[in-house]
Amino acid sequence: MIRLLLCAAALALPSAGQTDGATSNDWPHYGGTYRSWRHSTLDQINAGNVNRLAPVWVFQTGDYEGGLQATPIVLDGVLYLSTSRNRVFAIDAATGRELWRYVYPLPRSFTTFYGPWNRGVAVGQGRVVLGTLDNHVVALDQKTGREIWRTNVEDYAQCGCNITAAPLIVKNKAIVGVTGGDSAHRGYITAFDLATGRLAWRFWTIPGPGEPGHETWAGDSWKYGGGSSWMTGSYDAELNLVYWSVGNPAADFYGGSRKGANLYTDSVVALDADSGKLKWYNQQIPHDVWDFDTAYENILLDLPVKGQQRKLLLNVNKSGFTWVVDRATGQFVSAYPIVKHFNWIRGVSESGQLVGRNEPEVGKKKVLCPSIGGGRSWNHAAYSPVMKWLYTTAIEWCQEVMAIKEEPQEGKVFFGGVFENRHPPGENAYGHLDAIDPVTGKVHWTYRYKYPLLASVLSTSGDVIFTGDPEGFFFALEARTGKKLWSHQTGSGNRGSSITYMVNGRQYVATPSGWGSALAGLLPQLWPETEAFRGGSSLFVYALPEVGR
Amino acid sequence: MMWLALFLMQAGDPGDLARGARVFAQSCAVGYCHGTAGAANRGPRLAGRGLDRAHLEKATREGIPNTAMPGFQKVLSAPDLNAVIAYVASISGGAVAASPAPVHMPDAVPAPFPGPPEARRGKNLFFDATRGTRCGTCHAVEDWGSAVGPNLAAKPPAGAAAIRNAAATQVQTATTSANERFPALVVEQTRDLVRVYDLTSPPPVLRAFSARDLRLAPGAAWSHTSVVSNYKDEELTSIAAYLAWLATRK
Repeated sequence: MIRLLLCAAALALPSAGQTDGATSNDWPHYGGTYRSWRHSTLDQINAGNVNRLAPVWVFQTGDYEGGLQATPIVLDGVLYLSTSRNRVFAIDAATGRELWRYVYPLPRSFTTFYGPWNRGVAVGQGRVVLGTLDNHVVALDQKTGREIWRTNVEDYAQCGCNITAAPLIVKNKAIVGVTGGDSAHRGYITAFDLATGRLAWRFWTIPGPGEPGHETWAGDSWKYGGGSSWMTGSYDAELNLVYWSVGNPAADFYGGSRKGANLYTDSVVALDADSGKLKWYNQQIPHDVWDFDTAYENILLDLPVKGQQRKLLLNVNKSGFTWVVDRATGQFVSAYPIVKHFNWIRGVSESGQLVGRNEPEVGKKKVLCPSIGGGRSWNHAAYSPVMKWLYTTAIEWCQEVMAIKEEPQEGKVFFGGVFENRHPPGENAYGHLDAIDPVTGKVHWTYRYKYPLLASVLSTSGDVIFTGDPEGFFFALEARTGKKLWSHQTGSGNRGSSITYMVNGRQYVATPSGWGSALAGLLPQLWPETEAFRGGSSLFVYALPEVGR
Repeated sequence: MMWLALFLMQAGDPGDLARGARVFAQSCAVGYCHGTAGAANRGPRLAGRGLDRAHLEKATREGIPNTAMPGFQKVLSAPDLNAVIAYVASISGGAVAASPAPVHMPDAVPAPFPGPPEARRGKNLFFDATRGTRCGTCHAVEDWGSAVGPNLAAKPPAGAAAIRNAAATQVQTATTSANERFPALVVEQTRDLVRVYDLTSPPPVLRAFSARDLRLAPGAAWSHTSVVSNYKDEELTSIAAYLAWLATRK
């Protein structure tokens, strides 16, 4: 009886207009849906019963270097999980039984500056698509895990770049970004034909000679200007536009040899999904000298602005500022800080211009906030169509930084400076998770925590949001109030993206557990005890004990 | 005298340490690596770690496989390399006195290109990243590129025309069970499985088929001329000069 009632509740979906960015039984894309809300309409697990949530299975990947940073994908009761060093597992989403595994044959010994981790696969049209540490894209048979095709995007030894992000499948193509923003490399976003693996289109994130925007790079600096595309994009089917974020220009802290705005670094680009042609761009930080990537998720929202309904795109920048633009035109709508401690600018004007730039200087140490680690890291925010709020983490920390003049060497690290984290003026560094208005940034509630929160947020229609912390606790907060309702110790820090799904009428919540990543490495400068935090790589899956037995 | 030498090694030559600190700041502290004075960033903390000197020497020179730690043997000059190792040993608090004297390494970088100017130009063109398709897309030499096509350093082409008109006798025509046809280079063929490079358009795609799902026939509508059409004759001449020079170095 209870089971029947709960099933009925789960089927009672809110109106379609509210939920086209929300997931239901499956978790089909990296961001949940193409709109990247990371919100599920499931409410079997809710604020009233989440305190009874219990683990039902745990999956140990067996390879914990770099932790577990992936977003699992769930389709029709099968969960697809990628791990460090490019392994992929298909798992029975109800029982945890392994269905197949794929181990990518990495070169026997190789070096990558951009870590061994992987943040997920894309699944569609019978294919599971993976980007690799040596910059290949691989398609597997969804049923068997057998390799169907493999394409070398560009030689990783030459470019000093690779793929850690999940690809995005749009129609008959797999679209994939690339790392390399801190290397002497020229970034791109590439699409491959799902059936054959052939190159379908490439968008260079730095325009070449003769292309508009090329003039924003002095001399030959465009050849080695970074502009990586290291996270996963979003897609608006109605406009047929793919939205992708482009990271910082290289060298990160030294801009003397790349005078100009450095398009399309630190920009959101809107590309025609079929041709890869640029429809519009919105540059947040012209001539970035802080390594403040526009790299993170693009959340697609339809909300009123000053009384008028708009198609919006929201992007949290690494600088601790969030930009909101019109996603049909790229026109600036608003920008607001999500951190208290910032001095790299004084603010953003009403027309979207940076005001009062405070830049690193060659040979002179300077304290700038936030730290290069970011006013937020890549771990994603969630948008609740029920509350109409954005749930995002933020970090209050600063750094002592000095720019160094540097010459590029192709494929080698091209950074142009040194830095060391510092506590912000007047208080110790800390992290927080806030419920905010997505257009104005008005804060509704704050959950404060002694370390940065480095796991993605998951929102559900059960008035519960989930995330995890570096100490290994996966926990639930009441969506309306931020009150902690439940937590569970997973044995290692949380640095991935939790999801929720339903199989045979039972709702599950899954979280990657496994401490690691570049940012985890930066924490001991301010919190020495975090150096001893244990690594791991497991997927914890929870459900209500009384359901589905 | 012995004592004095030992003492100096233990303390580290102040000149060397200053040089090492400078090299460290530029090559090891930068980016997300080891942080100012080895205080840790993305890379592990080095300060106060008591690192074994032999490990330190090897890791610095050769790198640590399968990690983000590159080898600096080809990146730093010998004096810089020795100085930075001495500096890291000093901040790490490792057993400096027990270590062997620094080995003399030939200066490597910034090493001038060791061949004639035309070969240098040829190398730049071979790996020209501003072209979507370049020689390195299908050929590997000197640790860069993809080893899909023949090893060109073993048997260099005679000149521009030889490159443009390179024979493609290995390329066959593949037909799938869905009647898709493409030029193919066979990589692996067993009773059950066929793996081929699909050469339809660069970059090549390594595709796998059940043996019964793919037919192969000799000859193909594929020519090297079409894939090198983005190079001018004089550029191909330089590329041939580079490959000829490479062949003489073996």
